[in-house]
Amino acid sequence: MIRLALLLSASLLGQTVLCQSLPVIRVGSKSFTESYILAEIVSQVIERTGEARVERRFGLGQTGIAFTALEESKIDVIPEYSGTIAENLLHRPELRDEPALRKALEPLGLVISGSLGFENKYALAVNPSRWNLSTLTDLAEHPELHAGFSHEFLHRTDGLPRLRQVYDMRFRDARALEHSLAYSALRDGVIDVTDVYTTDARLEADRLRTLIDDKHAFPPYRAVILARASLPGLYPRTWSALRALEGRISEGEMRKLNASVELGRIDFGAAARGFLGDSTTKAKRHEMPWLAETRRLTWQHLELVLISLCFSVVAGIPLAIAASHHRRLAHWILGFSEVVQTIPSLALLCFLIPLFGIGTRPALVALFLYGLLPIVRGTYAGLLAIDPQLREISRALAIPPMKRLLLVELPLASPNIMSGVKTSAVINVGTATLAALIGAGGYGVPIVTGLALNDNSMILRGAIPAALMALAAHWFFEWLDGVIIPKGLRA
Amino acid sequence: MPAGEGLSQRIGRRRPTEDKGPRQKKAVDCLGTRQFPGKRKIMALPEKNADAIRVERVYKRMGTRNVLEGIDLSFRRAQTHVLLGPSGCGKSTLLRLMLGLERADSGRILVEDLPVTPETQPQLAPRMGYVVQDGGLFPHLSAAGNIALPARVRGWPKKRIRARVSELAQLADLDCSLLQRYPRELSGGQKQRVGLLRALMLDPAFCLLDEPLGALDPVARSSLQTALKKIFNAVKKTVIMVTHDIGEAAFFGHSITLLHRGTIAQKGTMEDLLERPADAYVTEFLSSQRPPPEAKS
Repeated sequence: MIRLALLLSASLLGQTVLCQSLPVIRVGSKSFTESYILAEIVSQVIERTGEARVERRFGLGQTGIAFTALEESKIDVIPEYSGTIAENLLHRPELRDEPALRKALEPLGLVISGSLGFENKYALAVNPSRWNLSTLTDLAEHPELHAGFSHEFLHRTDGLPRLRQVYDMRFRDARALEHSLAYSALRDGVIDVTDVYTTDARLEADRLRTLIDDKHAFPPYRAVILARASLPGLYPRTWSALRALEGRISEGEMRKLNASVELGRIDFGAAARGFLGDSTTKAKRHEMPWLAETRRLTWQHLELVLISLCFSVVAGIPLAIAASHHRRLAHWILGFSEVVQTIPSLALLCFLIPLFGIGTRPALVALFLYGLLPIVRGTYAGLLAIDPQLREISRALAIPPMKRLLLVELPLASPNIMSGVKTSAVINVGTATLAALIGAGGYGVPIVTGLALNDNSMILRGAIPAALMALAAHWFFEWLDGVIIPKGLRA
Repeated sequence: MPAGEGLSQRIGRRRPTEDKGPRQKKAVDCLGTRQFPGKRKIMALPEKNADAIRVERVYKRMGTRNVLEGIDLSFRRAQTHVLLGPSGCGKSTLLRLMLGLERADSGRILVEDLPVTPETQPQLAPRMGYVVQDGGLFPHLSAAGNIALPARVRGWPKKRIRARVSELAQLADLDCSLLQRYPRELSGGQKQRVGLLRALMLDPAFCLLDEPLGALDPVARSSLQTALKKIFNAVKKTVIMVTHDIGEAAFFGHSITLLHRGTIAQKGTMEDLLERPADAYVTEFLSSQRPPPEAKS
């Protein structure tokens, strides 16, 4: 097990060390269609300029993760929106134009381009066949509606809180919903109103009406390119090529691009090529053969789960042994692993980015931490449950402490230890799907992309293998029980 | 009570002054041989009637209860001694003190003139076989694994362990097929035999048994009593057995010590206790337990 872990981590290291001659610009994107497309356009412009090659760090979970990655220079450039930068990065909503933003970003070591030409504002959308409303003021007069909002919208100061402030908006209930799921919820009448982006492809396809922001509650969200301040100096030709994109993308153009990916099933790269005037456009969404793709994701996922599990076992069992010897230590060790467990996975991943960057490493650390509790608790409970008479007999036989641990205590506790390891493995198979949000790959990739594209079959391509792997892990450990647990202790 | 105390005090005080010089030397010799426990067949007896274990003015308190209140006792080598008394009289605690599993509040216990302390306990442990009520077997080890454990942790070669285990199995009439079974597949009597053999594995000088037959049904009990006596006679150990059963005490004990509320009520042979009881409690205890005459024949 340990050797396998070493082997895997060595191969991982090998991959990252392998470098090509050109310097690298790391392009990030958030996990929604437009961000993927804009990031792809940015990437292709950089590649065409030829000053650097591109590493695509797409699908970063949320604005917070993306900003942290940028500030910690884990990525170099990312498409963003002026409003998001003002509200969420600078916390200065009064900054509304690019020059002001550029000035405020300077101390952070960041720089932005001018507007790319379109706005992607927040808007609220309703189904006009059910609710014939036209402005947000109209909407404020219908507090009986059911709302479903994205998590971000619910909590951003320029989201729902601003609406409440400006329009005194009330709803019967306002539930949190993943953005891409909101459309089907709206269509099925589960909710009456949701937050949308004005360039969303599905607005037209689903015949939804966006309500006019008649009191200008939402700040402008002009698309810009946000980059580390060093980028223009290091790659002047690249930066001017990127700035050449300013004013080039109209709102209609963007909506068309979004639609071509979400509804026309073209892949992000092809959509970007189409925009940049490449002849090899309109190709169907490029898809790896299903089997090869699944195999690749399986390896990534297994790597995440196995390596983190090995570390959890290697750290968890000694921690539990130490805890079983010292009451006070037990308090701290169990307390720590329990607190870790209560940190939401996405938040934990976010905390780890400054320390470990993005990609596989922070994901491994997070999974390792999550894996600790079941193992520590199982081992601790197993050791405490040892019959005091048997402990006394090992003392009467004067078995030296190390041998007592190896020959008596750990074998006696082995059923509990094994069930802890099993729980940890099965849980981690599930948790590892979130690793895709920080660019670590695995079965989470199709899930995250599928959520962004509202493509159920793509989501299932990640979810079903993940479920099968969890089952396989369960069976594997059932079998391993038979190998490891002494025969005399088995039922 | 006063008579009993007098007796024990006399015994306790007489020994040290008499035997100190020569026996101390012997004890060192014994320690020397101890380092190769398997090679030693039967411990060389330095003196026919020397005391192997001495308990000197031992007090032990547990919580608010005085479990032992000034015990003075000595146990002669190569004899079977019985600690007799009702539950709660302190007899098990006394045994555990001798094994170093508990510490006395005051007073001391000498095993071969070496005081029992946390420091000496690991050194003394291989010389003290310990058997508890239901065998105290490790459920994750087979019968053979349990018997071999004390030797295994001391790094005996496999061949030597195997030879010793089969030698012991023969001694206890334990079928070889039983050796591969796990404790949960053994009967109460079988478990007890395995527990005893584990205690004898390192060929200790002492064998301390805490209610070894207490959990057995009458038939198993009686057959194991016979077997135990045979084994004790064969191996010539200094045996200290804790029991509350007067019949068992009479069956095994060269000397019997009756404990009552943490003090010694009387020490002597069964005959002494029956015919010359030290006080009313001795008579009361013996008569309360004496089996019906029909059963005796």
